[in-house]
Amino acid sequence: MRKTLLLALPLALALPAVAGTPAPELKFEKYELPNGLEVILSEDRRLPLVSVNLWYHVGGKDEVPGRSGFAHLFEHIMFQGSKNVPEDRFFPMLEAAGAPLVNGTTDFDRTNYFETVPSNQLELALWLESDRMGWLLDTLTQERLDNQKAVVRKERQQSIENVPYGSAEEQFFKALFPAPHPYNGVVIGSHLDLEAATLEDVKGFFRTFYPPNNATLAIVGDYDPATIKAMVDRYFGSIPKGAEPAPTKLPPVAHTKETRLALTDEVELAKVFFGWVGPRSFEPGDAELTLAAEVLAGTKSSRLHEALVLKQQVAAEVKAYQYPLQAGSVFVVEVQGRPGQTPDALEKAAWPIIEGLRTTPPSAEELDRAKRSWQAETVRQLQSLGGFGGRADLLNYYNHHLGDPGYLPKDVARIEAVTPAAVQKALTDVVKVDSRVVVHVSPVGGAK
Amino acid sequence: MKRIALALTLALVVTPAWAKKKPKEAPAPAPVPAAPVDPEAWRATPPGPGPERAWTAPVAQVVTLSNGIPVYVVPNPAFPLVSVRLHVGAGRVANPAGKAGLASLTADLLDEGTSTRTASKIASEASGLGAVLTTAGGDESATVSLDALGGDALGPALDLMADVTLRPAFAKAEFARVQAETLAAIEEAKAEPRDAAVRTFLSQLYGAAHPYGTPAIGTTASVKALKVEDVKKLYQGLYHAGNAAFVVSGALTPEEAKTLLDARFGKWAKGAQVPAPAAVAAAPIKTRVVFVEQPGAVQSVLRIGTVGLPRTSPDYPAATLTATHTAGMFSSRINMNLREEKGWSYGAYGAFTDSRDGGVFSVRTSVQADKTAPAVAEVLKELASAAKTPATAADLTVARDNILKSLPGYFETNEATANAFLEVPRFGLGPDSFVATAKAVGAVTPAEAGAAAARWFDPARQLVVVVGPKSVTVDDGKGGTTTVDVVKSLQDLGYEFVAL
Repeated sequence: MRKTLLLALPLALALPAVAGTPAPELKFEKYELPNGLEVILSEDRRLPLVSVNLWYHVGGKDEVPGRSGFAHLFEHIMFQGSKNVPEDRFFPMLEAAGAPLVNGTTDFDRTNYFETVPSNQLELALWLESDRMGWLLDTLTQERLDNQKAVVRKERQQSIENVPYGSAEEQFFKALFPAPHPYNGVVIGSHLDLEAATLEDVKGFFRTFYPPNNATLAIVGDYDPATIKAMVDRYFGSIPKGAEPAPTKLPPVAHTKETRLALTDEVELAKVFFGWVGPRSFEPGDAELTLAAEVLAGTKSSRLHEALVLKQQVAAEVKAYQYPLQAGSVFVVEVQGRPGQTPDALEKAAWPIIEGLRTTPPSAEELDRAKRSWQAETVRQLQSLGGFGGRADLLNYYNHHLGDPGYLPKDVARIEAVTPAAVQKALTDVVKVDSRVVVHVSPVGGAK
Repeated sequence: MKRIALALTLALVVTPAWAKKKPKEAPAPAPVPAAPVDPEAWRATPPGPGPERAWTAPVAQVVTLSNGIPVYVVPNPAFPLVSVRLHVGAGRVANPAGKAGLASLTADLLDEGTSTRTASKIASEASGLGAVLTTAGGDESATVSLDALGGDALGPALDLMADVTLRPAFAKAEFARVQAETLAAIEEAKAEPRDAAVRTFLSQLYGAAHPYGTPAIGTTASVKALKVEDVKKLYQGLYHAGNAAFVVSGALTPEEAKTLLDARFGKWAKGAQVPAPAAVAAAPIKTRVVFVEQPGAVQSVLRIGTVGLPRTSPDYPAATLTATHTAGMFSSRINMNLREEKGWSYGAYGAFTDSRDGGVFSVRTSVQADKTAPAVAEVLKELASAAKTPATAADLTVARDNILKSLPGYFETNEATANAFLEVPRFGLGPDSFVATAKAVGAVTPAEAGAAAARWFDPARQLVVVVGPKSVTVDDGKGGTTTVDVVKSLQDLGYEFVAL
């Protein structure tokens, strides 16, 4: 299972605005069960497949200090079996059913679980999901918990510690959200906190954050509209409603002085991370920074790529992205050097280009290209039914942040309305020297 | 199972029993008055599959351009999108001796400037059209990929695709830059233990002289020695209409695809037929352990496997099915053993690569460093058990369902569909390759699967590559620490041991 922290593509979402291209419609129906479970249905019968996509509105943000990694730990426990699903049968049952996709992801703000299954196995997916929502704790033993803690530690080793720049990214995000902010720490948690998690801690976390009234179930694909609601009700209707979890306070993060870290790692090439905490998701500035990232590093003709990769030839790769979060988005620029380059040299080369977007805002044409790319990418994502940014994920994403699964046309309009001056203003507000986090990563033994 | 009886029924009109009437409560146990009936007891039985909806994999429709280039089209009107893939038989199997990386560098240079557009202009025009245009060199193919919007935006995007394919400039300055970027990428890959494992596995299995023995990107030495003239020569010899094919998926008809592509590629000269380089057989191996040090690593990366088989081999369906059973699923023994029972790994999976000449079968995993040697022993033990004890018909049904019932998942997006159908020109398969393979996998007998397992999972013929630390210090569980000598414990397994 994945964690989305750092890997998370900010879900790019929208419709084509190129003349002559009809916008696909995203039809859906949203309703609520008496126990508070939100349900979003969207029918698509092209293939005999259906996606079940369950978002729990709990994430790394809801963990208390000293207990980091709980939401992600649950991602593992949830696949281990529940009252009626024998241990270690969750995946095998879906594999035998021929499910093309089964996974879950954990992020700062939310956790999701999804499976795309042959449509005649929809009941199996609903049975599995409802059993772990309603009856997970019946079979959660100390032994099972210890086993999954061990697996998570392996995942941590494999995806962070044994990956070039993995530990640097972890430090980078910790610096962006200094303790005691709820986002401090990584979604996967620390070895120490995982070790310390007791069975009672873990059970309490589940009871608080995983009742039906803290979740949204999206079903997208080939289902029978005449029977789907009865089917959902059969499996989820009798799960008792829980107490409403008190919303975790997410204080805004205001960096008042620059934070700099210099790290060495078992890597071959130097790398620099620049990061800022900006507006909360979907607030003014979020769309502008999304497009600014595209203008800076979206394509080979983007400003950073053209300057650092094509002309100066100091960088092997450049990347920029806007990662929208409820407590404040993160705007990131990453520059990876050619052999022999130092982090200092990379920073000196990159900063004038980043700053230059503030002093010389994008031209109308640059901004238009960024919009076209973003919109086309969104339509491409809509093709897939389920997780990792597909349609069910998109409906849930808008629903989670805005309470409106049908926000897509408004999002298109939001992006379309961005002006060069607005990009400039967002950069002026957010992308400043005295609020930035800069992480230098040097190869062990110096630049090669 | 119900599945067989219902397979012929069209599913969607059938109302499931529970939707018609209230669910039956589970039969009450012997009447014990104090125990109320659990209203949720019905959940103890997992729901069976509903009636299966009839579906067959798409078959590509074939049209031919004026100069003979075949175009495999899978129409999909659902979204205003079109994905186009151009296959050119110019992958790494076409590298001349000593020029590893040349085919890949040639493919990379296509979109780095043409006679009329700079690299930057190509990229900016593409993004302005909402299109993504990429080029890449693989094993058998160089591929030019276009993901574009349909309708009016498609023609200009195809113009760009044609420009990079037919008129690459191969300017000296761009060559030097991309060569340097390639060298940087090779450097970067050296820090990635998984990459080091793959490189070592291929070179040990095939030998450095074999085209499969060196990664497509090449080596520092081979790439440094390449000249722009090499690129031009490879391009002139291999990039022509007689060595190319298109795959198209999206919102257009085969006729529209033909018209659009003919206007841009129909005059591409046919060129001399280049005979495909003969497949070079890899020498059979005796199980040996090859160790590559990754100082300070907390995990060891393992690749354990052997030479595979051509995609066109009649044994392919049986090999694929048996590999899925033995190593391809979460529930396969290898993963259950290392991940769930031992807790040494986050996951362990094995599969054959699809390949024209042979490819590999390999089990891939990362394990906590102190358990490196025991994990190698467990994987070999599981392979030995699979080789010796054939899978039952029931086991094979699970693996077969896993493969066949998930097949629609290959066709959710145009990108995935077009990529999937690249196997048609790449390996010389028919436009019905997915239907044919599904049928063949469906027909594999337990005896055939057993023969495949005995052949490929023979524990005496596995190459074991380990990328990890020489030793590692871990908690001894008693409040102290202990140091595990990884190298020694690997040597103690008793196989030939090589440290690189």
